Amino acid sequence: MSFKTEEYVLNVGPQHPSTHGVFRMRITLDGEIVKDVEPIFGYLHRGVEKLMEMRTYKQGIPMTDRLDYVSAINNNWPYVMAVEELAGIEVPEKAEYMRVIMAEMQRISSHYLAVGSQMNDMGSFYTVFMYMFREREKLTDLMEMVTGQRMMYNYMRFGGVSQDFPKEFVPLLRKFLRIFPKYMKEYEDLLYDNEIYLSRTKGVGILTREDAINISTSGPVLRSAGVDFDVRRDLPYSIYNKFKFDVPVGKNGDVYDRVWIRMEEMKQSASIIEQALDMMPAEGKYQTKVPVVLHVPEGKTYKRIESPRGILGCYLESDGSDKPYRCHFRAPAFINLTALKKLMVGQTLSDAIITFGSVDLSMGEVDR
Amino acid sequence: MRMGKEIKMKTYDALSKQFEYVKTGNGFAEIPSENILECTEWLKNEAGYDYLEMITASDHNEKFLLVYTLINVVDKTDIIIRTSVPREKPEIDSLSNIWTGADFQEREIFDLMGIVFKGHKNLKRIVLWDGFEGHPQRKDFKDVI
Repeated sequence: MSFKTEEYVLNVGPQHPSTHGVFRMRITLDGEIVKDVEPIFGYLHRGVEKLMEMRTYKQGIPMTDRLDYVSAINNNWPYVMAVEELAGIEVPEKAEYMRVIMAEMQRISSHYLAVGSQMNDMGSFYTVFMYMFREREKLTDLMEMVTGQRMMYNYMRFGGVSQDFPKEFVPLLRKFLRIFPKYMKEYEDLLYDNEIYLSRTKGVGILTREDAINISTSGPVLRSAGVDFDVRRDLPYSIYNKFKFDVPVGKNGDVYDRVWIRMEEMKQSASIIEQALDMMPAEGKYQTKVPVVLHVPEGKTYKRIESPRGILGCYLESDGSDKPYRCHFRAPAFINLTALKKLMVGQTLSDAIITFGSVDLSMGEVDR
Repeated sequence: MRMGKEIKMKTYDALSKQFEYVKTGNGFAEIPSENILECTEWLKNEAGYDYLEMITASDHNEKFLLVYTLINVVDKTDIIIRTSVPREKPEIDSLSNIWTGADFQEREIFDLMGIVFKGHKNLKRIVLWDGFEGHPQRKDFKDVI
């Protein structure tokens, strides 16, 4: 006796229980195996690139914050670097250290959210998530002490940063870094020996090395496939060539490797912050003087940084006036999204949802 | 760092020796739009630039300027290629059959700027909704409101 089967189209709608944002997928299922995935997005498209052409350069900095709202300070950096190169503005040394410290703190708190919401997808309903938010709240409080904001910081300026560190900031940051290894050990004991976690993540969502390069993925997704490439070490910007840090690289390209890479990167970021606090000069200016309405000479440039999700770049064209002519952002989450079709087809539906969580999307960046 | 720059200069020299239509200078290579497929395939297979990083476009009144950046992950260098298409006939070959990573980026440029990529298997709007008329990132776009 044979069954008559037919394929069924399931709509995983724009609202999600995890913090993945407004993203819609149409999944074609045969039983429980995924046959085809069609991603549909654009629900958060605000036209940021066109809006920036109608505002002055300085008014564009808060608009870049709203691109990848989970890790907001990193988005200011390539735009500010591009304008500084075209206009010939120099950044004082103390301001470079402050930028690095804030960006690495943001990397740690972004990875906490990524791993926490991945655990949500696996069924541990907000347990690991709330433990990780315990640390993320401490980091958010520290950043509020410096910038005055909890989420859209608007901290970097052309030629430096907007405010100096208050005198309570550095001792409190050092206190956080002293207890940080104890928290990391707590998470490793919770996760890496857990049978359910190991059987749900090992061998799931495998991406080969050739595919990872062909699909232009970047960040932890590229490094999990065995490609040893990190913009901070290989095409360095700012003062990253002064710090010693390791770049974790995975072997198998599965979901276990991606979570492991994010946990290891958090430890490396804490080490970079410690080195920066030790090497930062005590005296010095934190911003070069720049005219209020800035006219940037004509030119075209492209600058890239390593954000928690991958390679974030800014392509800037200017025509000599006080507004940009064209500003485009190379968004890593938008391009990593192309890998979904390759990763999800052929797996069961529950494994497909876990794979989708491990790519770590942020919809503000995908739609712009 | 200096070794990376030397490899990059050698690549620009080799590229302009290989194809006579290449013009280099100021840190990028400029080519005519018909030869984009030939040039990027040579860079991928012979020179090791197999990671396509970014495609973007901008509107310069009589023509559209297109910018492609590629990275060599083994030698750790990057290369920038520029080309342009005329405004009356904005068409260029698609790279999505060689690099899957070009798929969404070319759809976004078609959606917002109106450049048609020949050979793309699924060229439809991606960020705006399906019934939208016009291409908003062009300089002469007027909103209906």
